[in-house]
Amino acid sequence: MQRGVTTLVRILAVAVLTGMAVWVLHPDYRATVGAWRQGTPEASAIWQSNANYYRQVVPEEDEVYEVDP
Amino acid sequence: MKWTLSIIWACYAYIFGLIWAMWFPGSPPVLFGAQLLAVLLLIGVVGLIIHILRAPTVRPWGRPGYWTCLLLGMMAFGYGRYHAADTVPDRQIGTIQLTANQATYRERAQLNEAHRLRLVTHTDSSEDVQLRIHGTLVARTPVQDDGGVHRMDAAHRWLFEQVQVPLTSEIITIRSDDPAGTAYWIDQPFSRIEKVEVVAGAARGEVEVYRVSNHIGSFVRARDEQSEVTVLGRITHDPRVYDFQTVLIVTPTFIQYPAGGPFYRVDGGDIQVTVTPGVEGYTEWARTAAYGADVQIRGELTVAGGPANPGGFDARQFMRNYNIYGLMRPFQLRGAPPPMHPVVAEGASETRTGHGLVAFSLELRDRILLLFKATMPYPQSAFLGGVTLGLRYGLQNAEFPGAEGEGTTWAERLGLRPSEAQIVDDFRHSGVNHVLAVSGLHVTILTVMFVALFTLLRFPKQVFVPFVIFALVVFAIITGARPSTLRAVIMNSLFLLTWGYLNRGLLSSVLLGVPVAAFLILLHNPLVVVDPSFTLSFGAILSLALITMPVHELCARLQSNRLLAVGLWVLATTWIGIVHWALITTPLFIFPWLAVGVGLYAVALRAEQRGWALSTRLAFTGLPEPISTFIAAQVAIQVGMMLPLSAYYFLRWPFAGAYVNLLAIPLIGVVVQLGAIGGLLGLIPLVGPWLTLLLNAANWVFATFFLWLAHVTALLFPHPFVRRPRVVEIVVYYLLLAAFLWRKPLWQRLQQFSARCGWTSRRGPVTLGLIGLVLVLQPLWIFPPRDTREPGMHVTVFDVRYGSAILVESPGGQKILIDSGFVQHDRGRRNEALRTLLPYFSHAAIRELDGIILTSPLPERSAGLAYVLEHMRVRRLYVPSTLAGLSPAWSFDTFLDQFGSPARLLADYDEERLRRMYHELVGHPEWPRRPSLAQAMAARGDGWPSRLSGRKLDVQAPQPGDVLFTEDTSDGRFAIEVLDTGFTRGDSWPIENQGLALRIVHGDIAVLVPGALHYSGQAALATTDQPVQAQLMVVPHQGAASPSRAARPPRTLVDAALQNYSGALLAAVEPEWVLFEYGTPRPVLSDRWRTAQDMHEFTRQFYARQLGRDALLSTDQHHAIFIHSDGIQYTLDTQAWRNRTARDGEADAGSQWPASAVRREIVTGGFSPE
Repeated sequence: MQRGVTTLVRILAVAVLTGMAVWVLHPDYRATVGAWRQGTPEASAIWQSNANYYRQVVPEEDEVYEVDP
Repeated sequence: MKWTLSIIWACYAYIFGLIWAMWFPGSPPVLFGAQLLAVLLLIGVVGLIIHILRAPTVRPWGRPGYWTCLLLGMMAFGYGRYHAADTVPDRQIGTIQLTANQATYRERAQLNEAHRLRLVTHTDSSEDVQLRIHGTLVARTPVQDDGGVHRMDAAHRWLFEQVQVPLTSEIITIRSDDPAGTAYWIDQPFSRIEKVEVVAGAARGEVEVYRVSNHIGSFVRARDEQSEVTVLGRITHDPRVYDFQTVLIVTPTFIQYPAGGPFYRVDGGDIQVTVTPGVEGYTEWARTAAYGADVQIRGELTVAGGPANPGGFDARQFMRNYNIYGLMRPFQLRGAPPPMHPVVAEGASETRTGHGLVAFSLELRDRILLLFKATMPYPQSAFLGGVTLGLRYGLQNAEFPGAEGEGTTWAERLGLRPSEAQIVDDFRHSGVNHVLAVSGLHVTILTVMFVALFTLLRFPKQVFVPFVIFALVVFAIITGARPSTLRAVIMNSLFLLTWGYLNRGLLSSVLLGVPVAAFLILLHNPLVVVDPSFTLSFGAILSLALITMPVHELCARLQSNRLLAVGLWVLATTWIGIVHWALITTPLFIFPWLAVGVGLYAVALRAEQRGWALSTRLAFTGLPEPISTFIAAQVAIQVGMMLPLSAYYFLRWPFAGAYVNLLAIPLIGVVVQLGAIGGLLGLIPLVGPWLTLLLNAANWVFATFFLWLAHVTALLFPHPFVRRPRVVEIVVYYLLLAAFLWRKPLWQRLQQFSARCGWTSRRGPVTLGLIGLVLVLQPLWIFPPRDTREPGMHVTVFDVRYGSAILVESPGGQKILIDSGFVQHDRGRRNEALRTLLPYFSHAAIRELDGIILTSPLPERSAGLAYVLEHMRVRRLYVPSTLAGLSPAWSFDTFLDQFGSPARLLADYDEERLRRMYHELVGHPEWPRRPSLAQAMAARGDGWPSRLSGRKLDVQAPQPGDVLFTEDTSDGRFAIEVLDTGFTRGDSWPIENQGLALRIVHGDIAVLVPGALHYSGQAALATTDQPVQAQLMVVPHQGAASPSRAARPPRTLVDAALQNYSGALLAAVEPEWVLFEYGTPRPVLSDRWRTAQDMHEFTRQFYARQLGRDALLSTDQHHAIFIHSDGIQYTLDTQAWRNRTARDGEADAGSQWPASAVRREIVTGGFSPE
């Protein structure tokens, strides 16, 4: 079981470093970090790209969503 | 007494009982007998356990008796349980004694609910007798609000007012020529039977009275018999929300059947309700919160379709396996009240929610999904949602990033041509689809992750084990509680419990956990015993547990020269498989190639013995232990599960899977763990979402790499169709595998037995082993593959919707395919070759076609041909003369030149239709990977691989008067005659007429296949000098030819064309039956589909007027049509009739109701053209 713990710690460490690198290098992530800081997450490119993916799952304040007849 | 062993064997005995019940179904008395036997034997087991525990010495019969009772009892229990789940038998409630002109009713059991009745004659009746039943009905009148919505009380009980009304049935006529055992249904419901009256006739005998089950399946009707019902029930599963519809599973409590009729309390079974955005209040249903809501639904209750073609997907059986017996699709009429209403109980403010734990789990899922949507771009987010939350439908229609005109994709940069395949196709082709079907792998990944997390936080295992089990249960609920997930959750929980509290090892947990998990799942739902998700899941875990170590031991022998030799041979075989898969399945190649492998190994070994060895550090065992074990596990899964079961269930083998999974499985471990941790951390207020954004930024890299891996390998590797193994072959395969796994103890037993018999030399056990081998292989000889059909000619007209595909099997066994159906490349993506034809060939063990005849270049007939050629050996291909010399180098203009003046063609046809024809036959410039006929023909050139693998194609353009595939048989001559349609090159004939018309002849029987002929072609065919008479005629052009380019040609014009041209053909052919190959023309004809639909309706009416409605068969109603000829007579059958007969005439599902609906429609006939 000790091996599982070590592996998990390594995965998390690599993930944190990779995640930071992606924040810096990937334009969509850079823009998303910016949008989150400005309090407008729905304006981020990432959120926009998911607009049609499970459209009914939205933040509580936007519960009602449009449906094409 | 080893109790663990008892549990293991008891579970397996139960499973064996289920399988026995599936293969040898019993009647209700047998079922009752099995249940009684199970109870008695299991009581015996309890008694024997007490005896063994209490008695100081166990009597000699104690242990054998215990095992006999236990195993037989569990088998009987399994047998009864399967049948109890599969059918709801009608129960006998009394008998009617007929004496002279009197009837006496003897009650055996009371009706405690409103039930319909079924009478079954016990004895033959000497004369006709008419009966009428008198009784009462406790009728329910619904309590409704002002809007007509049913009301519920505060305890969520549906409110009714009950009125007792006297009731008399319609007159039931028992005819004297009906044999004993004939059933008569009474549609009126009764709550009590008071007396039976003889209205007319005087007969003696006994009639049994049954109450018809109120299972929901008994109210379901086939599409052509449906009527409107009202269902009061509750949504009991998580709603499946798509872009264009929402699917709800509703458990009905009451049903009003038919509209305006009485309300019945439903005995069991669920229905699937599909709601579309057009239904008022749609958003109420298209959300997770709809789970648990009470609902009133009005609409037609239909039954899911059986297979449309032999060996096709049986949606009805698939749904039954999950307790779904009916389908509803509420329809919103303009201005009418909504067909679906949520119902709020008295005193409540909103609809109720479902089970607390389930509602919590689904809420958790939606919150994590929201985080995924906010922190990872699409389609990677959909991939993450699929593998972590089981939301695989989110990947539908998703394409590999960059595939949609966003410049050069990564695959293209590697020199791979772009593909239209979607992500789900990539996954299927590359053999990593299992990561989307959330399975044991995911549960194990999460188990390891949670245990590691808790260990990291220094919690003692005795404390955290319950939390981990709870998390796994929540995960199972979130992902839909499929059998594979349930299996893994049960097994992992058992492992955690034994590891946490008993300090037991993994292997003992697996050996116990597998049967216990299987037993628990099958106890709940025995019908999933042959469901792929169940079988593959258990196949995988058993392969891992039992085969990994033996494979590892074998691989451990690979070192130095031998490892190099085997490695090179495997690499070379892989390369051959990639560039020319057909060679791998060619005995002429594969056996010598295997000999090369063995020779290479022998040379490497010999060299080692002579001292010419590479370093011994070059060894399989030199790999780190987790990696070598993982590789052995992957081989074990391929051998134990993928090779036999993938071929059996999916008819294809993902060649790439054996390689890709070596990377994909560790990768998915990282993706799922990061996704789960990120999702859970994101629930922490304020800082949580930022942590999710960070982890999912990293996970985006891994997810993208995974998608790329699947995409590239799908482009590189073939995904071949394979012959479906027979059950007996799978059994023999697993027996041989078991002999290999337990070869050492088996060898010891053989030695002991030999020694006991006095055979001291090595020859004894070897001989016994060989005898055992022959015995194991015996079933292959005892049950050889056999065509159980009558000898003669068989013609199968496949249901390929709007298009054509006909398989002709000659009396001598030649197999000829005429046309190959349509391929829809855009929305819907329906490929009839991959969906219907190739699966049928795999199912029927047809690996080679003697010929394919393409009657027309139109895409509804030709598009599937390239796919058939890609996967099948085909000796000869006959194409219309306009396609002779077809080449991938043809330009669009060159292509049009073959059919006449391009300017005229562009004036007469939609350019889109002409281009589509060009794309299917020559190639698509934007999608060069899309198979086309010209490319397929070019790929089957004169090279040695094509010649050796039998894929060299002989292409010919037959002329009118040619006779193809002739055979002289004792039943008469078989031949396919090419008829004269009056076309010569240079004519300005429509493209439809520039094809082939065929007449299939066997003795006195003939079938006319006029292809896509238009009206003028039909008239020309009618006047040809060749004989065209046939008992059966396939209607030309799907019966949808239009006499003008107008969107709505005047009816008089259509009727005139039909009368003059089709009428002439009909008069010349004199058919007894006409067969329509029809389905929705929308995907084929784009804007002109409505015109085709109208034309088809007019044509159908015309033929009905000429021959009578009963002489028409159509694939859109009857599915595949089967013709059998013995040269003198012919027999017609259809898949729709077979589907009914397969279920003893049930159009519905859950009860014996109503067998009377069955009509025997298989007809025989025959005539001599002379």
